[in-house]
Amino acid sequence: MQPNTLVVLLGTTTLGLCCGLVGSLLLLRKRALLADALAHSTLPGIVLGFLIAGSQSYWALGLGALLTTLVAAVLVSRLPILTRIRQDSATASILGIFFGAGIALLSIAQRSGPGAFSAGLDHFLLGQAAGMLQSEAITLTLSATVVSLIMILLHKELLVSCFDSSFGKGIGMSMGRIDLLVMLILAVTIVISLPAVGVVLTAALIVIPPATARFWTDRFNRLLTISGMLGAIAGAAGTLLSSFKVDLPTGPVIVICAATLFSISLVVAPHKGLLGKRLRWIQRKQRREMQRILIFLHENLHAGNDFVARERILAGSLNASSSALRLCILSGYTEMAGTHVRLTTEGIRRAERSISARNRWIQWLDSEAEIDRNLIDLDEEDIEKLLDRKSMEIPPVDKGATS
Amino acid sequence: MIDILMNPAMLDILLVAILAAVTCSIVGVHLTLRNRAMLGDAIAHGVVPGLILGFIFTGSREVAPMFIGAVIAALILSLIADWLKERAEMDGGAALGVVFTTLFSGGIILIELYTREIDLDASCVLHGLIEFTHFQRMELFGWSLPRSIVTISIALLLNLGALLLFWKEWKVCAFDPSLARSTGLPVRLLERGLLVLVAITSVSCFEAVGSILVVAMIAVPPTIAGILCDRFGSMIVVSALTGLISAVAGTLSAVYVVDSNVPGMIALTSGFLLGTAVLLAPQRGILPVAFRLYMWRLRVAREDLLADSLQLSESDERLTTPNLISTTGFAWIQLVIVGFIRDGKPRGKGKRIAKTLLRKRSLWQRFASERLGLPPDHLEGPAHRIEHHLDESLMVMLEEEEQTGKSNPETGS
Repeated sequence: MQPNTLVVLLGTTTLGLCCGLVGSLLLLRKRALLADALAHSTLPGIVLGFLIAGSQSYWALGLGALLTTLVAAVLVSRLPILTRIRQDSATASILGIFFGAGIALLSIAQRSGPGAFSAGLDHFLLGQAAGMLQSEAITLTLSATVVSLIMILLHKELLVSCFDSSFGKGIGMSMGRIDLLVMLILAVTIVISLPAVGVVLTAALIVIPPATARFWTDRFNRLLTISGMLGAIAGAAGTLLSSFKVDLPTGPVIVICAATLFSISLVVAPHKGLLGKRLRWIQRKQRREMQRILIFLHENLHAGNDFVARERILAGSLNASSSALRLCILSGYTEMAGTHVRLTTEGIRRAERSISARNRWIQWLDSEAEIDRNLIDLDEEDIEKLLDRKSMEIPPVDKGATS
Repeated sequence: MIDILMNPAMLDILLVAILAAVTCSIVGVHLTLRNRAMLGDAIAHGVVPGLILGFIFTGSREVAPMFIGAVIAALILSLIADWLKERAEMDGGAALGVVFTTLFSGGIILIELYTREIDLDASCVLHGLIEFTHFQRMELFGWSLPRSIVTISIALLLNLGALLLFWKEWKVCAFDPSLARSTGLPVRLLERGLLVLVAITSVSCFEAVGSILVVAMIAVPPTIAGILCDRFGSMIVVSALTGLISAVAGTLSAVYVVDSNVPGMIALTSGFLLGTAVLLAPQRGILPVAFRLYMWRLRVAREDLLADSLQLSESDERLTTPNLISTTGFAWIQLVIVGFIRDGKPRGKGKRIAKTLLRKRSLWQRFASERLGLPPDHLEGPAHRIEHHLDESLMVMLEEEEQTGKSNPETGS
């Protein structure tokens, strides 16, 4: 570990926290890519700051960047209201125009500026977290604290502005001012993270942690908390990883860490993750198959044969899967007797319950949805199929009469 | 102007800029109509790992492997983003943001790991090498042509061909995907094909003119066209024209006026065009809309003044001059100049206008109270506003309505 690592660690952790918090507000407004556009639109401000101040002082460049970012933010949010420009086009156009203007200014500054503008484009695009100064880390920490405080104090207003701004207007909150505040926080966050992680990776830190947190929760406060924490974890982990292998630039490693967290959540998050969804789907399928087996056995019971051969369940018209049968036995609804299967008393009760539920469903389809009773095939609970058959049942004479 | 045409290097730069801008503007219209304008920016960043991997696998700086790698990366980027949007139910923008930033970071790490020794400059990808267009040449049918002109021309022809071939299909997909699906069009295939086209177009332009120009030209000219046009065809034409104008003006100003970066100046020029369109577009520009609104308010104020003065003159009073520094005051001045009002009383045509207005007001009041069953004592205010919007045909209809209402009074109740 290098001596500077602790400073960098502090800086990137609070940076991740800050970006995660702000990003969740953007995500909920469905404007995640605004972060990218605003991060790019700092470039003309930085060059202008340099041209006006004549030096590369942190504050001159920062103020310039803040100014153009705010102008871009206002333009992006006002253009779709003033004219028929779509949100997405406005964002992309402002990004292209501001960044292009920045590049044009940069090439002027590099030639005619007082002293060459040595901080090349690379540093601006990628940042240099490893070279973070103590003062920068302190600035970052202070700003992150302020941002978090604002979020905690105004969380009710922010919540309303994200979900139902007309309600907010109705109860007398000034939605315009809150929107402006969000833009200001966003702009400040972007500007303070630029020296550390650069343009694109700032956008990444603002977009990825909230998108990850969204897999885990549906509640505003938890989203903010989780997203902030994920950002902080990604920042810390990325810094530590890149400090072990000095070759790697810190910013991209942080983003890769955040992306790893994202992919893990995408798969394993209990409610919205792919694995959970898949599992629930399989479970539902199993339950339906179990139900079919029980009903089949119950019908046989009524016909007089208590025992049904296992092969008749697995093959034949029922064609059930063996795992569903095993599940029936495991949950105590059926029992094996040699090669034959029999319903237990609990199984009979369960089968009767599902038969009565089925009958009620048929009744409803028959009377309310007016679908012919004979067409209802509950082995295919697909409503689409029901509708298909029904629509195909329309007699051709009827068509002739209407046309 | 003459010396530009005389200078072959300058002519090449201008030609490449025009070709690239027009190509991107045409592709951009599709993306803009599908709310995906940010895809240009995403591809610009997302192709980096593809470029690097193409370089690492072949170990050469030939264009072909890097080109193929970049196109594949762009396709993977858009496919993963679509997949996340559909399967993981994410917001489209967030999905795109997650994917392209991750790919970009991966690309940067790849550069650091494997290609330290070679000089793959980020600013080179950004700026492109438009200034050196003239010096990178290739032989084609015995002609020596700048390479980027050839590649971008191919991209442009590909775009135009695909556009003409799938004109109707893409139009339906853009405006009404569910209609397209129900008429049996392979919507998914068409959209994928469009993505391939976007990927090929943007990658072939990156190398020649840099990603800034691509990002700006995919977004800005279609946006301008969207403000100005209402039809798909005219949008394409206007977008291409705007791209052309930005390219010419931007290149010339970059070289002859401010001595700056060419793609940056083209983007900036398109920004000026966008600003002009937002402010001055005849149908939806901010100023024309505000102007039309003000003219309408003036007309309402004039009519109100005339009606008021007519009512007052019936009881032998005069309308006092209103405060002249206001809309009403301006309307008053207009009326006095034209001569519709003299000494606070309506004269000539002014009197006729006032009478018609009062007639409209009473017609509407009666219609609203008798036919719509609204309480008569609340109708004064609304009638005061609606009277200005009743044109001749509506007035005739109301009058007929009144006639029939009188002839059989049962229907009126």
